[in-house]
Amino acid sequence: MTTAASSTAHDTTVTLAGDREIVMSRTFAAPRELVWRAVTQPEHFARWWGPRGFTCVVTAMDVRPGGRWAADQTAPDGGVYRFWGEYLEVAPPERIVHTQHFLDFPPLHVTITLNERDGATLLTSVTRADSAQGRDALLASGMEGGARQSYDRLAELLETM
Amino acid sequence: MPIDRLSATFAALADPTRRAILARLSRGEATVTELAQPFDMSMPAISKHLKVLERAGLIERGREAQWRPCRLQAEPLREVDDWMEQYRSFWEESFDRLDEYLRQLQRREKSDDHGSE
Repeated sequence: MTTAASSTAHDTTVTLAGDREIVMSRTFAAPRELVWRAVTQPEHFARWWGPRGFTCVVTAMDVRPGGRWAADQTAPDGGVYRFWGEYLEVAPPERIVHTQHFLDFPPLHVTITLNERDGATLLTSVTRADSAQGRDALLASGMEGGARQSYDRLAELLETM
Repeated sequence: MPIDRLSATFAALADPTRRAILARLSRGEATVTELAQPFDMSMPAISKHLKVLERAGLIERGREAQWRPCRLQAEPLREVDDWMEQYRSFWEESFDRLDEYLRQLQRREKSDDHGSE
């Protein structure tokens, strides 16, 4: 399986790839240096990261390999959700790799790359499971035949995690 | 979002044996003996996996004492699906906001330039 599903919402392209990755990309009308700053500087990052109506407070953002990041998202109902992780690779202004933890969900491994074209920047984020959790394709391989539809969808999802 | 239940689902899915059991059950109900067959594992070990799956609501077991067929339950899987959907919309909405924010930053930089001229 190469591509399980693909959709475009607004201008974001989302692809669920067969090698257990979720790939999202979006072109921004801004030079790469600026996008890099928006992604790596807390005062900028807090202004856009998270759904509308949520307030983001960055409590740590030490952008270097081994450095930590943490951000609290406050929902409109007052609920606070903490996200955190570690930077694994930092190559300004084009590539950053970090882990993302949220509650006790499987930790995610996120790679963000920035490519500049004609003054615009293509941001691509690739997310996959950081641990062995959800990684084995056993589920998918056992899915041939009369699998239920919801189960098929789960298999696709597990491959992206 | 029922966080605890979702975590239980993820924890249950984190094990390859349990995923293989679910894959087998997706083809129809089965007894513990049948489920144990493909694995080099003791019955108590398989029973332990089944208990985890049952607690996570991923399978249901028949009431009969001897013959307790296991059946797949789809609902928690839908919740995992929903969670992935939320993850996706989290980023899609963030990207929309980033787009607006970058435009705002560039307008600000431009007006600062004019101001200093």
